[in-house]
Amino acid sequence: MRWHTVPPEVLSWRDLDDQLVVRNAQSGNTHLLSPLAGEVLRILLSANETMTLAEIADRVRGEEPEDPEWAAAVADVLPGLERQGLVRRVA
Amino acid sequence: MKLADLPQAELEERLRGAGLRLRTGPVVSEIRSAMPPLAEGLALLYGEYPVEDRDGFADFHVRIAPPANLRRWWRPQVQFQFDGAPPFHPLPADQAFPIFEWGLNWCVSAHCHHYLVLHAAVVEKQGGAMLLPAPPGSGKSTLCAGLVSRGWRLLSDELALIDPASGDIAPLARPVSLKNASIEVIRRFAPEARLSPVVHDTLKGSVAHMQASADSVRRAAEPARPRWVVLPRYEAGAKAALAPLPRGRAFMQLADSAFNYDLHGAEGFRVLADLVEGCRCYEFTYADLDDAVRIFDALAEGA
Amino acid sequence: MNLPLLAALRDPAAIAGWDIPRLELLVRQARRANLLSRLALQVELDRLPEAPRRHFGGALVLARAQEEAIRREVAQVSEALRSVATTAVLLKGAGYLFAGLPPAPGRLFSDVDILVPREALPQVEAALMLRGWATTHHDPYDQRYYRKWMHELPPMQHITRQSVLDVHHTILPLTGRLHPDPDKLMRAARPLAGHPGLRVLAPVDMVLHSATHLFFNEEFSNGLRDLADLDSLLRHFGASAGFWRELPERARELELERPLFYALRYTRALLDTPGELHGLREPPAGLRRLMDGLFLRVLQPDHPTAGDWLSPLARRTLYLRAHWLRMPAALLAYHLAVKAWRRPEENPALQR
Repeated sequence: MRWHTVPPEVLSWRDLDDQLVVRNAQSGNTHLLSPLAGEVLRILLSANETMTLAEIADRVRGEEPEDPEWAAAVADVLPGLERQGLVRRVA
Repeated sequence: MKLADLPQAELEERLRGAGLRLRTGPVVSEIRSAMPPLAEGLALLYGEYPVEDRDGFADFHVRIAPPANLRRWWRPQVQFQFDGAPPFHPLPADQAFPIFEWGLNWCVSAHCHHYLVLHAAVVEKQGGAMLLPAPPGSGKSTLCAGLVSRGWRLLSDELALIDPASGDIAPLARPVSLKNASIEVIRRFAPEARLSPVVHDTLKGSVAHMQASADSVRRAAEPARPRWVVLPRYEAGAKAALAPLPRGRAFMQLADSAFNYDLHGAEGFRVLADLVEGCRCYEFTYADLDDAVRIFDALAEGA
Repeated sequence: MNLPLLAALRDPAAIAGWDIPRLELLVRQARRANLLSRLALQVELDRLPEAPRRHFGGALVLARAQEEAIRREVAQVSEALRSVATTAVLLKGAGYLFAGLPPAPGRLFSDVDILVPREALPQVEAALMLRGWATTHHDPYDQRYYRKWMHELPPMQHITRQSVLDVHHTILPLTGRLHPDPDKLMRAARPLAGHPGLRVLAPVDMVLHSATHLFFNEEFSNGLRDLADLDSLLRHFGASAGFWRELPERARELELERPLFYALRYTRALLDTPGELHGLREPPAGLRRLMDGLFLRVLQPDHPTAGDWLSPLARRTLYLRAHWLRMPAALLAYHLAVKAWRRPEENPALQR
């Protein structure tokens, strides 16, 4: 399972006090993302290719010690982002 | 020429005949009405506003008149007409002046899409504008009226007009609408302020309008730079408290309170994001207007 | 007829040179007629004085938002119908937009209209309901009115997006006097590049559909807008070889000569649209004069500065005519009686 954002041209986003607000031109909806969801979207936006859950979790974790909690947390936010039409999965 | 320069008889004649062209900030409305509360209300609250010539441009043509139904003598009604068509249902005839105010608000919120229009009060001090978006019942109009009677310039009690190109807010400087308990609160807080007669049993309860300060009206051509976004919440007995509001939440609050955010698409997103980035954002709980004025004056000084 | 709005539609380039009072009248009339956005895209905004320019600018904001919304909506409809083995023809506004035709820029409308084969209706309706569209007009009489007698399902409204979708299976009511064959329309429909499963009507059919819709309609709040659509379509397609021969032939084939006659007559009268009427059967002179009296009034914007004291009567007359055209007399009497028994808000004859 690999993930990527919808085409960036379709999105408008802004970092406001560590939270990401994003507007999806395809749905017409605007979302305020939780800090983790925002971080995941930022990571996917800056990557130019698809990423696996593990890769995203690693990036989010950064310098913090390894812990399966990271992947679990990222796995939690991805479906929401998908429902909002911000990310897509490719098998 | 100001409205106060017109003799009352001439004011009434224009209203009954060719129409009175009244300027409120960037908006000119041509007004027609044969109903006495209109002429009275305009003379009472709109003396300082410019009256325009017929060879200028009027943005809206409105008429406040009885509807074309059979209720002329039994519980007479009044209706707001926009270019001859009524956007809302008729109301009891004694609500002629409130329906005029609500109607003018509707004209702007429904047709001024060259602005991003938010449902919010806007006041200004020391060159910085404070936006007060809030759902009905939050006390924003009372707060707005209180601040205006203590030296804050009024841009609007209801409609924030944001210019997408500059990000500045354009004033309307129209009378402040007060409901129910806040009428008495303001009477006590600002005994010198001029209020319209109270109209009872409207859909919003008892309603009165407070005159905008002469300074606000005089400066109605002067836009203001947004500097603060404050979400007010009236809570009886509460100690006044100003708490920082995360900008993300402020953004969503503004987008929710906008009349035409969706129409502006990606551009609307950019305008609100820019606005919020440039502002200090707060939540404000209060019970006492004096506290509110003190705290906001301090904000303005510290700016 | 010298309404500023008509002059503007005929020659948008000249608007920039108008004086303030005329521009003011234009903005008022155009807004009422739903044509301000169309004009905003045709006029040189920078040459306008500031005060009227703001209104045209605001209308542009509306037009852009509208276009985005319709594209979004059609994408959803297309997605929903992927599982159904049928083609859907985009009608009217959505059709003009996706085919990139001149009526589209600045056209303000909210519903998406599609035409599908009658046999496919049950699957189409089911597929749409699965994706969140729900039927409206839940009253059993209304449901029967639409499904048994009319040319479309009751309008479907999307649960979350609130957008409205009209699903047609023919272009005129089943109970009406004319029966243009929808299969012919579907067979001649053109594909849309990049949108498999979606079509638009062939050029002559597009003109005929627009004409039929306008001149059989019961109300005319968008009458001048629809007439402007016809003007754009006729000018655009009229430049193609064979169009002016094909148009009356197809009208005859589909029994739609009368609405075509009115379309050509009134676009020429109000908008100077070039067109060729020969080969078309005309109504008798007396009827023609009556229709002139009615249509030349109702096609003007419903505005205090347009029309005359007979305009309201003209509107009411055409309202009744529209219903008469939709159903045989006995059925009409029944239908009007049912409507009269309803709550006043539902009775269009009692509304403004």
